[in-house]
Amino acid sequence: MTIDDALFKQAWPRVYAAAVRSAGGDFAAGEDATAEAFERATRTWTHGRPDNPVGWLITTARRITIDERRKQATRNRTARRLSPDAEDDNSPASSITGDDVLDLFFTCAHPSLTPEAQVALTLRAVAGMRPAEIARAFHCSPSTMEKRLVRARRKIREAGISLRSPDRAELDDRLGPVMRSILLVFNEGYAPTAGDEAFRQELCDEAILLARSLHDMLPDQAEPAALLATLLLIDARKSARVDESGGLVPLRFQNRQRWNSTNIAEGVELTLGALNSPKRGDYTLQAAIGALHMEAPRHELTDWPQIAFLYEQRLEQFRTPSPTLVIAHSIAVAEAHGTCAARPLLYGLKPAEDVTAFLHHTALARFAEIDNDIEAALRNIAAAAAAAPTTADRTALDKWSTKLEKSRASPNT
Amino acid sequence: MQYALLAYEDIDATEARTDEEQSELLAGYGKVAQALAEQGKLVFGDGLRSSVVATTVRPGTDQAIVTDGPITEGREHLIGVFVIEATDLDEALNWAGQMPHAQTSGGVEIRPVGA
Repeated sequence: MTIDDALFKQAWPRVYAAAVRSAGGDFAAGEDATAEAFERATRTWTHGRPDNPVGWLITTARRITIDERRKQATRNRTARRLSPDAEDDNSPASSITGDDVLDLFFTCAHPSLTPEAQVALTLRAVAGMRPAEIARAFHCSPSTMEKRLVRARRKIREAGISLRSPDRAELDDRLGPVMRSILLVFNEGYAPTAGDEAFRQELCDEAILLARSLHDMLPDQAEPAALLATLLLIDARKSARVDESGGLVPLRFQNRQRWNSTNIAEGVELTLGALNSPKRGDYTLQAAIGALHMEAPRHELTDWPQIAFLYEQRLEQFRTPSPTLVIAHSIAVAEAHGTCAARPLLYGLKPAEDVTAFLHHTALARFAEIDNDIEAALRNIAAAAAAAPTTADRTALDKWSTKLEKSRASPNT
Repeated sequence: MQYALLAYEDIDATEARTDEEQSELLAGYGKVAQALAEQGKLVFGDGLRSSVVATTVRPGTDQAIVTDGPITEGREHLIGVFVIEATDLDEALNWAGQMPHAQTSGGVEIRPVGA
């Protein structure tokens, strides 16, 4: 192949941004030109790549958009002159820096778009995923995903959303949706909300790549560094997280020898850097929690009081914290200070959704286990299994109850 | 580009507003309008009377039918219209954010002008 995966990943967002820009901010036209430029490359690079393949692709995509705009103008017979943008667009391809991709990131996650559209556009424009692949990742039909993308591109064009990064003053607010999009991609890979797979590595890898490029472009910002750290630390557990039969292994039963020490080292270093920042954002706190988990040589040696404290700081940032966060905090408190302190934290929860019910019963089962109340633990495991989102979750719960039943049969082991 | 900034609020809020609150609201809009005008970005801007006194014309069989009341009956109604010049949505959002209905209660809808 003349265009391998590495070149595609590196080139796609740069070509896309340049094409959108020379198409006057029109994402649909820019995307068509990008796809066409890659097709032309596959056709013409039969004797090897040009010296500067990314530059070649950018120049080609720009030429396509300019030709397209000329054709449009002639077709319309309105004698409307091409906008100065397009005519001045002879700047050398080498002037395209990483910042063009940063502009693309921020525009795809513009707060005026729905979170679903933000994620879909980011995966399409920055990661180069096809609509059908994105549809599979989010369990919707390709036509639904295509419609969502068409609608988002139309909104960008008609509402006048510029392809640009925010000013310094707006950066904090605007980084939120960008990072949330990346996290959503990772979560869907790490803990799919539906389906039979325990995780989907390709989505995790995609999210890590996106987080890494965001961090590379904004190296002095703590939160993007912390986001990358969080993803690396979670991803480091992947080979210990699933057993031979495909069931999930909870953190405390994982074989820590199998954790990826390179990822952990990089994640911890990034976390320490982020913690130096005067203002600790939520991603920094998450990274710090992740680092504490990963640095414990054994589960019993985990610094639970510190983790519970970090969860408290996370809770303070939200007016209405998510049930997931409330439950995670309660578990940390139970491990650190006992279940008497932890139980009241869950009183306000309304387990309306399945995922909340699943997490809630899993937490109550763990509390009962800590208190040696095996009957209550088994009851809650059964309730959690009934609400479990994936087969892998159910399998893990089954194993847990088997383990508890064995310990009940022979209490001294 | 031109953007229409459409201010909406609860009908109850409109009906219950005292004269004093009304002049406070107008002063809030006056500030934004002045800033827009100073930068040459204000095309039009004013408040509307309550939709309680609105009249609607719809197509009929022989001739248009006139009815009492707004097009859409809802809890919230349109209460102010601004048309401004802005380079992109971000700038329009920034102006909209300074309007009283984006700060206390109600909301401001941003729509590009021109079909």
